[in-house]
Amino acid sequence: MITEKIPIQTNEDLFVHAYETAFPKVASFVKKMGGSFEEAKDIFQDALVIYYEKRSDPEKPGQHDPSNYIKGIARHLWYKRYRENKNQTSLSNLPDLKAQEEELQVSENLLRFVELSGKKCLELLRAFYYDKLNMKTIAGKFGFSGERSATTQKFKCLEKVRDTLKERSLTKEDFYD
Amino acid sequence: MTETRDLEHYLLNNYGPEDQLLMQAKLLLSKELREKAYWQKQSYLLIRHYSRNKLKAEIEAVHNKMFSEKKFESFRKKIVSIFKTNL
Repeated sequence: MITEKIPIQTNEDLFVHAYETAFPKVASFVKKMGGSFEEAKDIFQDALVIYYEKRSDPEKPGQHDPSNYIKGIARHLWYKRYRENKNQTSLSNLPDLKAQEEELQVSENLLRFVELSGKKCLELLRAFYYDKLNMKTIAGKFGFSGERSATTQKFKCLEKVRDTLKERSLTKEDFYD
Repeated sequence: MTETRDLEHYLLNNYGPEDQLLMQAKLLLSKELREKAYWQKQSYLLIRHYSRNKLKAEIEAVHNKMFSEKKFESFRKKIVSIFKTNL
């Protein structure tokens, strides 16, 4: 297992490493179950997203070999999607990516509008809320003088997104019924 | 900004039980605050949606690299051997 020995610094490094160590395992499993390359790819990529999002959880998979963890998620997704085996409960607390998307009550048009009106803000918000970078790292990455300044800007950006959503809610076509 | 920060603590469950209750009481008393809380929650969902889309695009870019660049040839051969009949 080479997983713990490689210093992973960027998302690209992380994904290349995951492809090299976990994708062959997922591919072998999917093939064994009668699946195709495209199905293995879809399952693997969704498993990788879930792994990425759970990295900073207190019960994170970091202590274990990530390739086995990703394979475990992939198996779960496979049974869920292609076999509808409701008895698979070992990883049942994993997030359902599609169900989570449905909680968002805004349209793709509005998403694009918010993105166009403040890409830098969204990248800053992504760094904090999704990538879970600490404020010191964020300050360095986005060129702020310090953590305090980065924190202030983060809240300003959040308020900008929030106010934009609220204002645009007046034009109903941007929202689902 | 204090209000936004307070709402964040509440919505992301960072408060202890007492502060959580206090914020619930404030929300009951203020329609304006409730509206802000709703849109702030939608903002977090939007940020996740945006971030996830970006992440998926990054993963797809790596996938394309893995299946095209020469330095990953042995990796490709390994995968091809698994899917001999499918690729």
